[in-house]
Amino acid sequence: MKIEINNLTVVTKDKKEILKDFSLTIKAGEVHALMGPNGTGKSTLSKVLLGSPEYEVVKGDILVDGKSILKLSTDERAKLGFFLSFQSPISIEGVTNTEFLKTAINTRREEAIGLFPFMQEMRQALKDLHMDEDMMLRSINQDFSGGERKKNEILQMKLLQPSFIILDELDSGLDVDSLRICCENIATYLKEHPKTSVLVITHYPRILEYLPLNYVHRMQAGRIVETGDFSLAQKIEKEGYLSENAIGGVVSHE
Amino acid sequence: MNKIIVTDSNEENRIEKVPFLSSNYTFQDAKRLFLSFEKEKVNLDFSVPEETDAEVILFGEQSDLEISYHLGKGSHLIVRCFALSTKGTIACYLEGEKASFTYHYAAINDCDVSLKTAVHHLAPHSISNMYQHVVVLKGATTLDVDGIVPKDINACVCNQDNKIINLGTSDCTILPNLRIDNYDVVANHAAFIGKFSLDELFYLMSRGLDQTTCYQLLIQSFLFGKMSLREEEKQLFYSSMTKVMEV
Ligand SMILES: Nc1ncnc2c1ncn2[C@@H]1O[C@H](COP(=O)(O)OP(=O)(O)OP(=O)(O)O)[C@@H](O)[C@H]1O
Ligand SMILES: [Mg+2]
Repeated sequence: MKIEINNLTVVTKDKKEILKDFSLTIKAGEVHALMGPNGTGKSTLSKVLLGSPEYEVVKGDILVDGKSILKLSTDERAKLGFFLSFQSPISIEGVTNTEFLKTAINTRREEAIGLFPFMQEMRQALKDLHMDEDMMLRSINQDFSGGERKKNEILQMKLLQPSFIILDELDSGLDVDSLRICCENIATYLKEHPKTSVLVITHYPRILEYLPLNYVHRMQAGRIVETGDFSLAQKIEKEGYLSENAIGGVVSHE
Repeated sequence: MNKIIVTDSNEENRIEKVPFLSSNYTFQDAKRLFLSFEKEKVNLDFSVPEETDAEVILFGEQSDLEISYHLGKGSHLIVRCFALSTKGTIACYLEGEKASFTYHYAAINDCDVSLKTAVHHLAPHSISNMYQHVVVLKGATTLDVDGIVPKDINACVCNQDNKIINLGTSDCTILPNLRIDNYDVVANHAAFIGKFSLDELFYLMSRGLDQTTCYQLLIQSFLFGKMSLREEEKQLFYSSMTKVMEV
């Protein structure tokens, strides 16, 4: 799936500008990383891509395979193939993971999935992610630790089979092994679905070592100011955003 | 009364034609009562004798319920009620030491409804936990909730959790009145009137669920999430919920 974000300017309800003329193109099968200091608008971008009602797009467009999706609602974008792994997944009391996932899977199928194949798929996914089966009987993320919530996002990703994946700080909250396991699952998924495009939002290069990375972008004040490869992520890790060299990079993405 | 199912301690259901339950009912060999009302005015009085466990499951539609519960020493009563546009006056009297009352009231209202609930702690070490969760589609709902612990009654637990999700335009009210005159009491009170959180809605929709389905899931979890319903109760409550929401 090809995603084109063209000159996107986004404001909050009280008209605070967060994204300013933001542009980025992710071609089918590419993995892009987005790094930037706290509060630059990375999570905002991820939510705007999913059509969050919290924000208003005042300029620019988002195209999927050449067609604008700005008019689509959040659920329509999800059905189109968008998947956001949230920075802080919320919990919802009383709705079980199983019930929720089954409903979500059925939204993108002509015929409802049978209980048996669903359980089979879910068990396999749980096993792949080293998760306990009984977690699925609990309410969505209820009493899940920070890391378990993140794993649960990847579990949902595996079952929902998206064509555009946004990982908003997947690496925050996951321990070393869990991060590796999650990333191996994502990498396997990408091998099996080579047209899938990915946007990885992160503060650290480690997660990028596990994924078939194409580009790294540095974001500052609502837009991309520098584009490079893995070495840019290493440079940011080493020098931070505040150092002389890091500031004022050239806008060099396509 | 449309229907009553009496379940004894062997978990065998007996369907009884009433009206044996005209006003007073004392739990003896029955363990669980299931009652359903439609467009009725009901006046009921339940007694749970000493050291007895009992359950009451109620379903009311456009009715007017006047119900009181009397709990003896060491008894335990759980009430699970689902009401559609049903008003009422509910009173619980914890008459014996260590009596315990767990009350789950869930409702969907599409007209003006007022509900008065009072729990009277009349014996020491008595426990009440009350959850009243109401979704308002239309009209004004008023929840008037009293918790009463007199001066000479100590070591009680009196918890209340009253919440209204107002999807309509009229003003709704929760009036919690705590008359706790004893110092040695655990009392927690939560009152909330509002809408569903946009974050929850966004999370569910981001997985492909349309808005109606999301509301259904959220309402279902808000109303029944804490109730630990049995499978057959779930079926009845959920299908009644879906029916009112379709209108
Ligand atoms: N709904 C909103 N209303 C008002 N301000 C908002 C809203 N959403 C985000 N902001 C503000 O916009 C800025 C960008 O927030 P965002 O969450 O996108 O940052 P981020 O780049 O993801 O940061 P972090 O690295 O800390 O996750 C912040 O200053 C934030 O406070
Ligand atoms: Mg963020």
